[in-house]
Amino acid sequence: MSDMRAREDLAGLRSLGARSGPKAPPTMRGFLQRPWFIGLLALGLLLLVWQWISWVNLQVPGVGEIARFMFTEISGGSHGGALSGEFWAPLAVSLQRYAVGLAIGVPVGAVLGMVIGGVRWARGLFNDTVLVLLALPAVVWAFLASLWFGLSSWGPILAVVLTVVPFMAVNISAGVRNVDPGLAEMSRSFGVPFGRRLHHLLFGGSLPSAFTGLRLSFMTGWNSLLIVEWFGSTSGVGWRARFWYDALRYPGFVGWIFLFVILITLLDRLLLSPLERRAFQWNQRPTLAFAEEA
Amino acid sequence: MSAAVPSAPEATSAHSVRELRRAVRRRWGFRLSVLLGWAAFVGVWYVVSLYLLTPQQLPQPHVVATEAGELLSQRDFGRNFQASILRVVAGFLLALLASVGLGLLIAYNRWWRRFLVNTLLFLVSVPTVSFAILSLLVLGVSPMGPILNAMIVTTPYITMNLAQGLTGVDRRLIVMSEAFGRTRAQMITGILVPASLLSVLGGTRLAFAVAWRVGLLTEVFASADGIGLQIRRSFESYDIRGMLAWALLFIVIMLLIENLVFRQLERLLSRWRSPDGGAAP
Repeated sequence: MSDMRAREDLAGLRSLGARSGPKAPPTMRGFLQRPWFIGLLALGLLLLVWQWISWVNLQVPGVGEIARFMFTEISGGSHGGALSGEFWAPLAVSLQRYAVGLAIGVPVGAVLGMVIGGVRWARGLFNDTVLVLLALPAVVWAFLASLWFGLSSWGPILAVVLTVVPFMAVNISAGVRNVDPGLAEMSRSFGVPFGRRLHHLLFGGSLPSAFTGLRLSFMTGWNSLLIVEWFGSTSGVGWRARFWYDALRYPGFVGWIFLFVILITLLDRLLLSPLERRAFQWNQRPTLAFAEEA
Repeated sequence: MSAAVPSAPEATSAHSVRELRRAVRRRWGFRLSVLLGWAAFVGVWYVVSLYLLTPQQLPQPHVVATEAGELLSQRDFGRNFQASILRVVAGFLLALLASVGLGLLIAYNRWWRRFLVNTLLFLVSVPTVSFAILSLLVLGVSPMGPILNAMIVTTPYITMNLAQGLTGVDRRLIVMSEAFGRTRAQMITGILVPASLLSVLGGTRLAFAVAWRVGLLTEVFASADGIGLQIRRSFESYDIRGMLAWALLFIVIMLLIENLVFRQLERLLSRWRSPDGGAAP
Protein backbone atom coordinates (compact mmCIF):
# COMPACT_ATOMS: atom_id res chain seq x y z
CA MET A 1 0.00 0.00 0.00
CA SER A 2 0.92 3.57 -0.34
CA ASP A 3 2.07 4.04 3.22
CA MET A 4 4.58 1.30 2.91
CA ARG A 5 6.25 3.42 0.31
CA ALA A 6 6.25 6.41 2.62
CA ARG A 7 8.89 4.56 4.53
CA GLU A 8 11.15 4.23 1.53
CA ASP A 9 10.54 7.77 0.42
CA LEU A 10 11.35 9.28 3.77
CA ALA A 11 14.47 7.16 4.01
CA GLY A 12 15.43 8.32 0.55
CA LEU A 13 15.07 11.93 1.51
CA ARG A 14 17.16 11.38 4.60
CA SER A 15 19.86 9.79 2.53
CA LEU A 16 19.94 12.79 0.23
CA GLY A 17 20.46 14.97 3.25
CA ALA A 18 23.04 12.67 4.77
CA ARG A 19 25.05 12.35 1.61
CA SER A 20 25.85 16.04 1.53
CA GLY A 21 27.46 15.74 4.94
CA PRO A 22 31.23 16.34 4.85
CA LYS A 23 32.52 19.29 6.85
CA ALA A 24 33.03 22.37 4.74
CA PRO A 25 36.21 24.46 5.18
CA PRO A 26 35.93 27.59 7.40
CA THR A 27 35.64 30.03 4.51
CA MET A 28 32.75 32.29 3.68
CA ARG A 29 31.30 29.68 1.36
CA GLY A 30 31.85 26.98 3.95
CA PHE A 31 30.05 29.12 6.48
CA LEU A 32 27.07 29.37 4.18
CA GLN A 33 26.94 25.60 4.04
CA ARG A 34 26.89 24.93 7.77
CA PRO A 35 23.78 23.01 8.78
CA TRP A 36 22.87 25.40 11.58
CA PHE A 37 23.13 28.37 9.26
CA ILE A 38 20.86 26.68 6.74
CA GLY A 39 18.40 25.79 9.49
CA LEU A 40 18.42 29.33 10.75
CA LEU A 41 17.91 30.66 7.25
CA ALA A 42 14.92 28.38 6.74
CA LEU A 43 13.43 29.47 10.06
CA GLY A 44 13.96 33.13 9.22
CA LEU A 45 12.34 32.65 5.86
CA LEU A 46 9.34 30.98 7.48
CA LEU A 47 8.89 33.83 9.95
CA LEU A 48 9.24 36.36 7.16
CA VAL A 49 6.57 34.64 5.09
CA TRP A 50 4.26 34.49 8.10
CA GLN A 51 4.83 38.16 8.83
CA TRP A 52 4.04 38.99 5.23
CA ILE A 53 0.81 36.99 5.42
CA SER A 54 -0.16 38.89 8.54
CA TRP A 55 0.36 42.19 6.71
CA VAL A 56 -1.79 41.09 3.80
CA ASN A 57 -4.52 39.46 5.89
CA LEU A 58 -5.47 41.60 8.87
CA GLN A 59 -7.07 38.69 10.67
CA VAL A 60 -3.75 36.90 10.92
CA PRO A 61 -1.60 37.93 13.90
CA GLY A 62 2.02 38.93 13.37
CA VAL A 63 5.05 37.15 14.77
CA GLY A 64 5.64 39.67 17.57
CA GLU A 65 2.04 39.52 18.69
CA ILE A 66 2.12 35.73 18.82
CA ALA A 67 5.38 35.72 20.78
CA ARG A 68 4.01 38.17 23.34
CA PHE A 69 0.81 36.20 23.78
CA MET A 70 2.64 32.91 24.18
CA PHE A 71 5.00 34.45 26.72
CA THR A 72 2.01 35.38 28.87
CA GLU A 73 0.50 31.97 28.30
CA ILE A 74 3.63 30.08 29.32
CA SER A 75 4.49 32.29 32.28
CA GLY A 76 0.90 32.06 33.53
CA GLY A 77 0.29 35.80 33.39
CA SER A 78 -3.04 37.50 32.80
CA HIS A 79 -4.55 37.76 29.32
CA GLY A 80 -6.88 40.48 30.50
CA GLY A 81 -10.23 39.85 32.12
CA ALA A 82 -10.57 36.61 34.05
CA LEU A 83 -8.38 34.71 31.61
CA SER A 84 -4.93 33.72 32.72
CA GLY A 85 -2.24 31.78 30.96
CA GLU A 86 -2.29 28.01 31.08
CA PHE A 87 0.50 26.05 29.56
CA TRP A 88 1.87 23.22 31.62
CA ALA A 89 -1.47 21.69 32.62
CA PRO A 90 -2.80 21.15 29.07
CA LEU A 91 0.63 20.05 27.94
CA ALA A 92 0.92 17.46 30.71
CA VAL A 93 -2.56 16.10 30.01
CA SER A 94 -1.88 15.75 26.29
CA LEU A 95 1.54 14.21 26.69
CA GLN A 96 0.13 11.71 29.13
CA ARG A 97 -2.62 10.67 26.71
CA TYR A 98 -0.11 10.51 23.89
CA ALA A 99 2.28 8.36 25.91
CA VAL A 100 -0.44 5.95 27.01
CA GLY A 101 -1.75 5.67 23.45
CA LEU A 102 1.70 4.95 22.05
CA ALA A 103 2.51 2.54 24.86
CA ILE A 104 -0.53 0.49 23.91
CA GLY A 105 -0.53 0.97 20.14
CA VAL A 106 3.14 0.49 19.29
CA PRO A 107 3.62 -2.97 20.89
CA VAL A 108 0.28 -4.22 19.60
CA GLY A 109 1.07 -3.01 16.09
CA ALA A 110 4.59 -4.42 16.27
CA VAL A 111 3.42 -7.89 17.30
CA LEU A 112 0.68 -7.84 14.69
CA GLY A 113 3.21 -6.79 12.06
CA MET A 114 5.62 -9.59 13.05
CA VAL A 115 2.84 -12.16 12.81
CA ILE A 116 1.62 -10.84 9.47
CA GLY A 117 5.13 -10.72 8.08
CA GLY A 118 6.23 -14.09 9.41
CA VAL A 119 3.22 -16.38 9.16
CA ARG A 120 1.57 -17.01 5.83
CA TRP A 121 -2.00 -17.68 6.89
CA ALA A 122 -1.87 -14.75 9.29
CA ARG A 123 -1.01 -12.48 6.38
CA GLY A 124 -4.06 -13.71 4.50
CA LEU A 125 -6.16 -13.27 7.61
CA PHE A 126 -5.09 -9.81 8.73
CA ASN A 127 -3.44 -8.03 5.83
CA ASP A 128 -6.56 -6.63 4.15
CA THR A 129 -8.05 -5.56 7.46
CA VAL A 130 -4.91 -3.64 8.32
CA LEU A 131 -4.89 -1.96 4.91
CA VAL A 132 -8.51 -0.86 5.31
CA LEU A 133 -7.79 0.49 8.78
CA LEU A 134 -4.77 2.31 7.35
CA ALA A 135 -6.86 3.89 4.63
CA LEU A 136 -9.44 5.15 7.11
CA PRO A 137 -8.63 8.84 7.66
CA ALA A 138 -7.53 9.79 11.17
CA VAL A 139 -10.33 12.30 11.44
CA VAL A 140 -12.92 9.51 11.29
CA TRP A 141 -11.21 7.68 14.13
CA ALA A 142 -11.09 10.91 16.04
CA PHE A 143 -14.79 11.56 15.57
CA LEU A 144 -15.73 8.00 16.48
CA ALA A 145 -13.56 8.04 19.57
CA SER A 146 -14.99 11.30 20.81
CA LEU A 147 -18.57 10.15 20.17
CA TRP A 148 -17.99 6.89 22.01
CA PHE A 149 -16.15 8.20 25.02
CA GLY A 150 -17.45 11.72 25.33
CA LEU A 151 -15.14 14.10 27.08
CA SER A 152 -13.08 11.54 28.99
CA SER A 153 -9.42 10.86 28.29
CA TRP A 154 -10.20 7.51 26.67
CA GLY A 155 -11.32 9.08 23.41
CA PRO A 156 -7.94 10.67 22.62
CA ILE A 157 -6.09 7.57 23.81
CA LEU A 158 -8.19 5.26 21.67
CA ALA A 159 -7.72 7.50 18.63
CA VAL A 160 -3.94 7.38 19.08
CA VAL A 161 -4.00 3.59 19.46
CA LEU A 162 -6.19 3.05 16.43
CA THR A 163 -4.07 5.23 14.14
CA VAL A 164 -0.77 3.84 15.38
CA VAL A 165 -1.52 0.10 15.16
CA PRO A 166 -1.93 -0.17 11.36
CA PHE A 167 1.11 2.02 10.70
CA MET A 168 3.33 -0.11 12.89
CA ALA A 169 1.86 -3.35 11.55
CA VAL A 170 2.33 -2.44 7.90
CA ASN A 171 5.89 -1.25 8.30
CA ILE A 172 7.07 -4.09 10.50
CA SER A 173 5.48 -6.75 8.35
CA ALA A 174 7.26 -5.27 5.33
CA GLY A 175 10.50 -5.32 7.31
CA VAL A 176 10.05 -8.94 8.36
CA ARG A 177 9.33 -9.96 4.80
CA ASN A 178 12.52 -8.23 3.69
CA VAL A 179 14.68 -10.30 6.03
CA ASP A 180 17.19 -12.22 3.96
CA PRO A 181 15.66 -15.69 3.40
CA GLY A 182 19.14 -17.15 2.96
CA LEU A 183 20.09 -16.09 6.46
CA ALA A 184 16.86 -17.50 7.85
CA GLU A 185 17.45 -20.85 6.19
CA MET A 186 21.06 -20.99 7.29
CA SER A 187 20.29 -20.25 10.91
CA ARG A 188 17.57 -22.88 10.86
CA SER A 189 19.86 -25.53 9.41
CA PHE A 190 22.60 -24.69 11.89
CA GLY A 191 20.12 -25.19 14.71
CA VAL A 192 20.08 -21.67 16.11
CA PRO A 193 17.48 -21.64 18.90
CA PHE A 194 14.19 -19.92 18.24
CA GLY A 195 14.72 -17.17 20.81
CA ARG A 196 18.01 -16.08 19.30
CA ARG A 197 16.63 -16.32 15.79
CA LEU A 198 13.77 -14.10 16.80
CA HIS A 199 16.08 -11.58 18.40
CA HIS A 200 18.93 -11.37 15.94
CA LEU A 201 17.32 -12.25 12.66
CA LEU A 202 13.74 -11.10 12.80
CA PHE A 203 14.20 -8.22 15.17
CA GLY A 204 17.52 -7.04 13.79
CA GLY A 205 16.45 -7.45 10.19
CA SER A 206 13.24 -5.52 10.52
CA LEU A 207 14.75 -2.74 12.61
CA PRO A 208 15.11 -0.16 9.81
CA SER A 209 11.48 -0.36 8.78
CA ALA A 210 10.46 -0.58 12.44
CA PHE A 211 12.03 2.82 12.93
CA THR A 212 10.26 4.36 9.99
CA GLY A 213 7.06 2.81 11.30
CA LEU A 214 7.78 4.30 14.68
CA ARG A 215 8.42 7.70 13.20
CA LEU A 216 5.25 7.63 11.12
CA SER A 217 3.33 6.40 14.16
CA PHE A 218 4.59 9.25 16.27
CA MET A 219 3.58 11.74 13.59
CA THR A 220 0.13 10.37 12.85
CA GLY A 221 -0.61 9.58 16.48
CA TRP A 222 0.10 13.17 17.45
CA ASN A 223 -2.03 14.34 14.58
CA SER A 224 -5.09 12.39 15.59
CA LEU A 225 -4.65 13.26 19.25
CA LEU A 226 -4.84 16.92 18.26
CA ILE A 227 -7.95 16.33 16.15
CA VAL A 228 -9.80 14.55 18.95
CA GLU A 229 -8.86 17.20 21.45
CA TRP A 230 -9.95 19.93 19.08
CA PHE A 231 -13.40 18.45 18.50
CA GLY A 232 -14.25 16.60 21.66
CA SER A 233 -12.30 17.42 24.79
CA THR A 234 -12.14 19.98 27.55
CA SER A 235 -8.46 19.61 28.33
CA GLY A 236 -5.18 19.21 26.51
CA VAL A 237 -3.30 21.22 23.93
CA GLY A 238 -5.81 20.71 21.12
CA TRP A 239 -8.58 21.99 23.34
CA ARG A 240 -6.47 25.00 24.32
CA ALA A 241 -5.99 25.96 20.68
CA ARG A 242 -9.72 25.53 20.07
CA PHE A 243 -10.43 27.61 23.16
CA TRP A 244 -8.48 30.59 21.84
CA TYR A 245 -9.98 30.14 18.42
CA ASP A 246 -13.50 30.26 19.82
CA ALA A 247 -12.54 33.26 21.96
CA LEU A 248 -11.37 35.01 18.77
CA ARG A 249 -7.91 35.45 20.29
CA TYR A 250 -5.99 34.42 17.21
CA PRO A 251 -2.45 34.99 18.54
CA GLY A 252 -3.06 32.29 21.13
CA PHE A 253 -4.57 30.00 18.57
CA VAL A 254 -1.68 30.34 16.11
CA GLY A 255 0.85 30.19 18.92
CA TRP A 256 -0.48 26.84 20.05
CA ILE A 257 -0.45 25.49 16.52
CA PHE A 258 3.19 26.47 16.19
CA LEU A 259 3.78 24.71 19.50
CA PHE A 260 2.28 21.51 18.07
CA VAL A 261 4.91 21.60 15.36
CA ILE A 262 7.73 22.49 17.76
CA LEU A 263 6.74 19.69 20.13
CA ILE A 264 6.74 16.97 17.50
CA THR A 265 10.02 18.24 16.05
CA LEU A 266 11.61 18.23 19.50
CA LEU A 267 10.33 14.72 20.13
CA ASP A 268 11.89 13.58 16.90
CA ARG A 269 15.22 15.26 17.58
CA LEU A 270 15.51 14.41 21.27
CA LEU A 271 13.99 10.95 21.41
CA LEU A 272 13.72 9.20 18.06
CA SER A 273 16.92 10.34 16.34
CA PRO A 274 19.30 9.42 19.22
CA LEU A 275 17.50 6.10 19.61
CA GLU A 276 17.87 5.46 15.92
CA ARG A 277 21.55 6.35 15.94
CA ARG A 278 22.12 3.94 18.79
CA ALA A 279 20.16 1.16 17.20
CA PHE A 280 22.15 1.42 14.00
CA GLN A 281 25.62 1.70 15.46
CA TRP A 282 26.39 -1.81 14.30
CA ASN A 283 25.22 -1.01 10.79
CA GLN A 284 25.95 2.31 9.14
CA ARG A 285 22.36 3.45 8.55
CA PRO A 286 18.99 2.00 7.71
CA THR A 287 18.87 0.61 4.22
CA LEU A 288 18.68 3.71 2.09
CA ALA A 289 18.33 2.02 -1.26
CA PHE A 290 15.46 3.39 -3.21
CA ALA A 291 13.52 0.28 -4.07
CA GLU A 292 11.75 0.41 -7.38
CA GLU A 293 8.77 -1.68 -6.42
CA ALA A 294 8.92 -4.48 -3.91
CA MET B 1 1.25 -19.59 -14.10
CA SER B 2 1.64 -22.97 -12.40
CA ALA B 3 -1.67 -24.04 -13.92
CA ALA B 4 0.13 -24.44 -17.24
CA VAL B 5 2.63 -26.93 -15.87
CA PRO B 6 0.62 -30.21 -15.82
CA SER B 7 0.05 -30.07 -19.57
CA ALA B 8 3.80 -30.14 -20.16
CA PRO B 9 4.96 -33.75 -20.72
CA GLU B 10 8.03 -33.61 -18.45
CA ALA B 11 5.97 -32.53 -15.44
CA THR B 12 4.03 -35.77 -15.12
CA SER B 13 6.43 -37.56 -12.78
CA ALA B 14 4.91 -38.47 -9.42
CA HIS B 15 7.26 -36.21 -7.54
CA SER B 16 6.48 -33.01 -9.40
CA VAL B 17 2.77 -33.76 -9.33
CA ARG B 18 2.95 -33.93 -5.56
CA GLU B 19 4.89 -30.66 -5.48
CA LEU B 20 2.31 -29.10 -7.70
CA ARG B 21 -0.56 -30.33 -5.58
CA ARG B 22 1.08 -28.91 -2.53
CA ALA B 23 1.53 -25.56 -4.25
CA VAL B 24 -2.11 -25.53 -5.33
CA ARG B 25 -3.22 -26.47 -1.85
CA ARG B 26 -1.13 -23.69 -0.36
CA ARG B 27 -2.53 -21.17 -2.77
CA TRP B 28 -6.11 -22.19 -1.98
CA GLY B 29 -5.27 -22.20 1.71
CA PHE B 30 -4.07 -18.64 1.37
CA ARG B 31 -7.20 -17.60 -0.49
CA LEU B 32 -9.28 -19.25 2.17
CA SER B 33 -7.43 -17.34 4.88
CA VAL B 34 -8.05 -14.07 3.02
CA LEU B 35 -11.73 -14.92 2.86
CA LEU B 36 -11.73 -15.85 6.52
CA GLY B 37 -9.99 -12.56 7.27
CA TRP B 38 -12.75 -10.57 5.62
CA ALA B 39 -15.38 -12.69 7.35
CA ALA B 40 -13.63 -12.08 10.66
CA PHE B 41 -13.45 -8.35 9.99
CA VAL B 42 -17.17 -8.12 9.33
CA GLY B 43 -17.90 -10.51 12.19
CA VAL B 44 -15.89 -8.50 14.69
CA TRP B 45 -17.67 -5.38 13.49
CA TYR B 46 -21.05 -7.05 14.16
CA VAL B 47 -19.94 -8.24 17.60
CA VAL B 48 -18.63 -4.83 18.58
CA SER B 49 -21.73 -3.02 17.39
CA LEU B 50 -24.20 -5.47 18.96
CA TYR B 51 -22.51 -6.43 22.23
CA LEU B 52 -19.66 -4.06 23.10
CA LEU B 53 -21.33 -0.85 21.99
CA THR B 54 -24.85 -0.22 20.79
CA PRO B 55 -25.99 -0.14 17.14
CA GLN B 56 -26.44 3.60 17.59
CA GLN B 57 -22.78 3.98 18.51
CA LEU B 58 -21.50 1.68 15.81
CA PRO B 59 -24.06 0.73 13.14
CA GLN B 60 -23.79 -2.80 11.73
CA PRO B 61 -21.97 -3.31 8.44
CA HIS B 62 -25.08 -3.90 6.37
CA VAL B 63 -26.63 -0.68 7.67
CA VAL B 64 -23.56 1.29 6.67
CA ALA B 65 -23.44 -0.42 3.28
CA THR B 66 -27.09 0.41 2.52
CA GLU B 67 -26.53 3.99 3.63
CA ALA B 68 -23.52 4.24 1.33
CA GLY B 69 -25.61 2.82 -1.51
CA GLU B 70 -28.29 5.41 -0.88
CA LEU B 71 -25.71 8.19 -0.82
CA LEU B 72 -24.35 6.98 -4.13
CA SER B 73 -27.74 7.30 -5.78
CA GLN B 74 -28.27 10.87 -4.57
CA ARG B 75 -27.17 13.99 -6.41
CA ASP B 76 -25.51 15.12 -3.20
CA PHE B 77 -22.81 12.55 -3.57
CA GLY B 78 -21.84 13.59 -7.07
CA ARG B 79 -21.57 17.23 -6.10
CA ASN B 80 -19.45 16.64 -3.02
CA PHE B 81 -17.30 14.05 -4.66
CA GLN B 82 -16.63 16.31 -7.60
CA ALA B 83 -15.70 19.20 -5.33
CA SER B 84 -13.27 17.05 -3.35
CA ILE B 85 -11.62 15.37 -6.26
CA LEU B 86 -11.19 18.56 -8.27
CA ARG B 87 -9.42 20.24 -5.37
CA VAL B 88 -7.15 17.31 -4.76
CA VAL B 89 -6.25 17.10 -8.44
CA ALA B 90 -5.62 20.85 -8.61
CA GLY B 91 -3.39 20.81 -5.55
CA PHE B 92 -1.66 17.79 -6.90
CA LEU B 93 -0.92 19.40 -10.26
CA LEU B 94 0.41 22.51 -8.55
CA ALA B 95 2.64 20.32 -6.42
CA LEU B 96 3.89 18.55 -9.51
CA LEU B 97 4.77 21.88 -11.07
CA ALA B 98 6.59 23.08 -7.97
CA SER B 99 8.46 19.80 -7.60
CA VAL B 100 9.92 19.97 -11.07
CA GLY B 101 11.76 23.15 -10.11
CA LEU B 102 12.68 22.00 -6.63
CA GLY B 103 13.71 18.55 -7.81
CA LEU B 104 16.05 20.01 -10.43
CA LEU B 105 17.62 22.27 -7.79
CA ILE B 106 18.11 19.36 -5.41
CA ALA B 107 19.59 17.14 -8.06
CA TYR B 108 22.05 19.63 -9.53
CA ASN B 109 22.98 22.15 -6.87
CA ARG B 110 24.71 21.26 -3.65
CA TRP B 111 23.71 24.27 -1.56
CA TRP B 112 20.08 24.10 -2.59
CA ARG B 113 20.10 20.41 -1.88
CA ARG B 114 21.05 21.00 1.73
CA PHE B 115 18.64 23.83 2.17
CA LEU B 116 15.66 22.16 0.52
CA VAL B 117 16.17 18.68 1.91
CA ASN B 118 16.15 19.95 5.47
CA THR B 119 13.19 22.21 4.86
CA LEU B 120 11.22 19.47 3.15
CA LEU B 121 12.00 16.99 5.92
CA PHE B 122 10.67 19.49 8.39
CA LEU B 123 7.57 20.03 6.27
CA VAL B 124 6.86 16.30 6.24
CA SER B 125 6.93 16.15 10.04
CA VAL B 126 4.42 18.95 10.54
CA PRO B 127 1.10 17.48 11.72
CA THR B 128 -1.33 17.87 8.84
CA VAL B 129 -4.03 19.10 11.17
CA SER B 130 -2.04 22.30 11.75
CA PHE B 131 -2.17 23.10 8.06
CA ALA B 132 -5.88 22.37 8.06
CA ILE B 133 -6.61 24.64 11.02
CA LEU B 134 -4.32 27.41 9.85
CA SER B 135 -6.02 27.52 6.48
CA LEU B 136 -9.25 28.15 8.34
CA LEU B 137 -7.73 31.33 9.75
CA VAL B 138 -5.71 32.53 6.78
CA LEU B 139 -8.04 31.64 3.91
CA GLY B 140 -11.33 31.26 5.72
CA VAL B 141 -13.97 28.91 4.35
CA SER B 142 -12.87 28.66 0.75
CA PRO B 143 -11.96 26.03 -1.82
CA MET B 144 -8.40 27.38 -1.80
CA GLY B 145 -7.65 25.76 1.56
CA PRO B 146 -7.79 22.13 0.46
CA ILE B 147 -5.99 22.94 -2.77
CA LEU B 148 -3.14 24.74 -1.06
CA ASN B 149 -2.79 22.16 1.69
CA ALA B 150 -2.81 19.28 -0.75
CA MET B 151 -0.05 21.07 -2.61
CA ILE B 152 2.07 21.85 0.46
CA VAL B 153 1.85 18.36 1.86
CA THR B 154 2.51 16.46 -1.36
CA THR B 155 5.33 18.60 -2.71
CA PRO B 156 8.02 16.96 -0.51
CA TYR B 157 7.05 13.47 -1.62
CA ILE B 158 7.04 14.24 -5.32
CA THR B 159 10.17 16.37 -5.10
CA MET B 160 12.25 13.76 -3.36
CA ASN B 161 11.23 11.12 -5.84
CA LEU B 162 12.03 13.35 -8.75
CA ALA B 163 15.40 14.23 -7.27
CA GLN B 164 16.14 10.56 -6.67
CA GLY B 165 15.20 9.74 -10.23
CA LEU B 166 17.37 12.52 -11.62
CA THR B 167 20.42 11.64 -9.54
CA GLY B 168 20.00 8.01 -10.51
CA VAL B 169 20.43 8.75 -14.21
CA ASP B 170 23.32 6.89 -15.78
CA ARG B 171 26.05 9.51 -16.29
CA ARG B 172 27.64 7.56 -19.07
CA LEU B 173 24.55 8.07 -21.17
CA ILE B 174 24.95 11.84 -20.82
CA VAL B 175 28.63 11.71 -21.68
CA MET B 176 27.92 9.58 -24.68
CA SER B 177 25.18 11.79 -26.00
CA GLU B 178 27.45 14.80 -25.55
CA ALA B 179 30.10 13.01 -27.54
CA PHE B 180 27.63 12.30 -30.30
CA GLY B 181 26.57 15.94 -30.36
CA ARG B 182 23.01 15.64 -29.12
CA THR B 183 21.27 18.85 -28.16
CA ARG B 184 20.18 19.59 -24.64
CA ALA B 185 16.52 19.16 -25.53
CA GLN B 186 17.22 15.76 -26.98
CA MET B 187 19.09 14.73 -23.86
CA ILE B 188 16.22 15.80 -21.67
CA THR B 189 13.51 14.05 -23.63
CA GLY B 190 15.64 11.03 -24.44
CA ILE B 191 17.42 10.37 -21.15
CA LEU B 192 16.28 12.41 -18.20
CA VAL B 193 12.54 12.18 -18.64
CA PRO B 194 12.25 8.43 -19.23
CA ALA B 195 14.77 7.60 -16.54
CA SER B 196 13.10 9.68 -13.86
CA LEU B 197 9.52 9.06 -14.89
CA LEU B 198 9.08 5.83 -13.02
CA SER B 199 10.41 7.04 -9.71
CA VAL B 200 8.27 10.16 -10.03
CA LEU B 201 5.26 7.99 -10.60
CA GLY B 202 6.09 5.92 -7.54
CA GLY B 203 6.11 9.18 -5.64
CA THR B 204 2.88 10.41 -7.13
CA ARG B 205 0.96 7.31 -6.12
CA LEU B 206 1.85 7.86 -2.51
CA ALA B 207 1.44 11.60 -2.84
CA PHE B 208 -2.05 11.17 -4.20
CA ALA B 209 -3.09 9.12 -1.20
CA VAL B 210 -1.63 11.77 1.09
CA ALA B 211 -3.26 14.61 -0.85
CA TRP B 212 -6.60 12.86 -0.79
CA ARG B 213 -6.49 12.63 3.01
CA VAL B 214 -5.19 16.12 3.63
CA GLY B 215 -7.86 17.49 1.32
CA LEU B 216 -10.44 15.65 3.39
CA LEU B 217 -9.03 16.92 6.66
CA THR B 218 -9.00 20.50 5.42
CA GLU B 219 -12.56 20.15 4.20
CA VAL B 220 -13.54 19.01 7.68
CA PHE B 221 -12.25 22.27 9.09
CA ALA B 222 -12.74 24.85 6.39
CA SER B 223 -14.93 24.13 3.43
CA ALA B 224 -18.45 24.73 2.20
CA ASP B 225 -18.74 21.35 0.47
CA GLY B 226 -16.88 18.14 -0.20
CA ILE B 227 -16.72 14.73 1.44
CA GLY B 228 -14.86 16.14 4.45
CA LEU B 229 -17.63 18.60 5.19
CA GLN B 230 -20.23 15.83 4.95
CA ILE B 231 -18.29 13.76 7.48
CA ARG B 232 -18.11 16.70 9.81
CA ARG B 233 -21.83 17.42 9.42
CA SER B 234 -22.67 13.83 10.27
CA PHE B 235 -20.39 14.07 13.30
CA GLU B 236 -22.06 17.21 14.53
CA SER B 237 -25.53 15.71 14.19
CA TYR B 238 -24.45 12.44 15.87
CA ASP B 239 -25.17 10.60 12.64
CA ILE B 240 -22.55 7.87 12.91
CA ARG B 241 -24.21 5.87 10.17
CA GLY B 242 -23.79 8.69 7.67
CA MET B 243 -20.24 9.37 8.82
CA LEU B 244 -19.17 5.76 8.32
CA ALA B 245 -20.95 5.61 4.97
CA TRP B 246 -19.06 8.66 3.72
CA ALA B 247 -15.82 7.26 5.09
CA LEU B 248 -16.50 3.95 3.35
CA LEU B 249 -17.04 5.69 0.03
CA PHE B 250 -13.90 7.73 0.60
CA ILE B 251 -11.79 4.62 1.16
CA VAL B 252 -13.28 2.79 -1.81
CA ILE B 253 -12.60 5.72 -4.11
CA MET B 254 -9.06 6.07 -2.82
CA LEU B 255 -8.26 2.40 -3.33
CA LEU B 256 -9.90 2.42 -6.76
CA ILE B 257 -7.90 5.40 -7.97
CA GLU B 258 -4.72 3.97 -6.60
CA ASN B 259 -5.15 0.55 -8.12
CA LEU B 260 -6.87 1.40 -11.38
CA VAL B 261 -5.17 4.62 -12.38
CA PHE B 262 -1.75 4.72 -10.82
CA ARG B 263 -0.83 1.06 -10.81
CA GLN B 264 -1.89 0.66 -14.44
CA LEU B 265 0.01 3.76 -15.43
CA GLU B 266 3.04 2.45 -13.66
CA ARG B 267 2.81 -0.90 -15.40
CA LEU B 268 2.45 0.86 -18.73
CA LEU B 269 5.44 3.09 -18.18
CA SER B 270 7.71 0.45 -16.72
CA ARG B 271 7.16 -1.97 -19.56
CA TRP B 272 10.31 -0.94 -21.38
CA ARG B 273 12.38 -1.83 -18.35
CA SER B 274 11.74 -5.53 -17.92
CA PRO B 275 13.05 -7.63 -20.84
CA ASP B 276 10.05 -9.96 -21.05
CA GLY B 277 7.64 -7.05 -21.16
CA GLY B 278 4.58 -6.71 -18.99
CA ALA B 279 5.23 -8.07 -15.54
CA ALA B 280 6.53 -5.54 -13.05
CA PRO B 281 10.06 -6.31 -11.79
